Amino acid sequence: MWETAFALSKWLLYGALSAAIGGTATVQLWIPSGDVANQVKRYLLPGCIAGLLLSAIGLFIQVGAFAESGLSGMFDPVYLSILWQSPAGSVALTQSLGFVAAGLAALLLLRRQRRSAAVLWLLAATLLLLPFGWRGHTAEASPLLGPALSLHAGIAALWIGALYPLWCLNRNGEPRQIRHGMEQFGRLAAWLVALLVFCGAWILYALLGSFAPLVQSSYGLALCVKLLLVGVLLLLAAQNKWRLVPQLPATTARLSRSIRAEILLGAIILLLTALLSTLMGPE
Amino acid sequence: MFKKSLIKILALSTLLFSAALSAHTHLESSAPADGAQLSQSPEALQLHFSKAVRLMHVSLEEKSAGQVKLAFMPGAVAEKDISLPLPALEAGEYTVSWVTLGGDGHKMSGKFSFKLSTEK
Repeated sequence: MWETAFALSKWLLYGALSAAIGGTATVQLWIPSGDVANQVKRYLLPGCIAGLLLSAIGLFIQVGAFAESGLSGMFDPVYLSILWQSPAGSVALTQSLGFVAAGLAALLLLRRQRRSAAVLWLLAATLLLLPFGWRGHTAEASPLLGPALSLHAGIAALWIGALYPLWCLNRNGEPRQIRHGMEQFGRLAAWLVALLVFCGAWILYALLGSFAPLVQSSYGLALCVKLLLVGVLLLLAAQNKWRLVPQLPATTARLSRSIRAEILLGAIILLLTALLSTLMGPE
Repeated sequence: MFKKSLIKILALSTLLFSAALSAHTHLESSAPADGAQLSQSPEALQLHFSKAVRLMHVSLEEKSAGQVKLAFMPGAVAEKDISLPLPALEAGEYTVSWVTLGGDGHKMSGKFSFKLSTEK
């Protein structure tokens, strides 16, 4: 029960992290000034507040799992103190600070202080992504695996978090603004996706020792499902970049549907990632 | 030139990353050992893990008499070798259960058994 609860809290945290990293960057770069306030209030600030709460909830769930004394065990002072001094505590604290920094960056966007917001966003992204290598299967493996995982998670968050503001831009923006935003995002995404796939393949190889276990273990097969979904997401992204965006504004409705499908796929991929990294292991 | 550099980077990267993920922390050995047949009550329970861990729970249970009270408090310091004093044990079949928090944040647990007979 605790592991399932932890996996679900991780899933929601990944969503909040995507909003904090990808959402903030997209609002800053491509959302017209008139729509920034709406995005900050409806998407960025709720995402950061949810992330802050989920960082704490994740820690308390882990305390409950170790205390083994029911729901009240979540607040056991002895186990809370131990977990707080372990990597779990460092992760919760650092990511909480990251969400605070991202929230402040969003508030600065409201005040149109884009440069200061960019600096805070960079700090937030660093604080949110660094802890990815501090625990889990990569924590005790090769020293470069942690940074590779942080980079992988960062690009995924940038991509998935960007989708909602881009979808709103596509629905409410001027044709010129939509084309500008979508084209720039497409250009940036092409490089980032290549890096995302490279880091992912590298991490996968390090976790499994070779690519053969992909088809020989349940963990590998579950990873294959994730890879398949990422493949579909890439196909959708490619369709947007090379077919739908060049034909804007005639394809506005189709582009909206395509981005909505990407959001749904992104949520499923994040759920699968949370389940894989919590309930299953590469051994 | 670019091709050569790329090959060098890839080769170096493969070396750095090729160390397959080390297995989770596990109990390497214990005293009494798993399956041990003792003729004297052991003075301490010694656990030796593959990496430093925080021992979160440990219990000792005799098959018919039930739980044996141990002087154990979970601690925040991670250790590879952990020793717990044991009370004088009666003859019987004992099972030790342990739960640890590994350096990677994972919860690991395990059990092992030993027999104590006082017959000469």
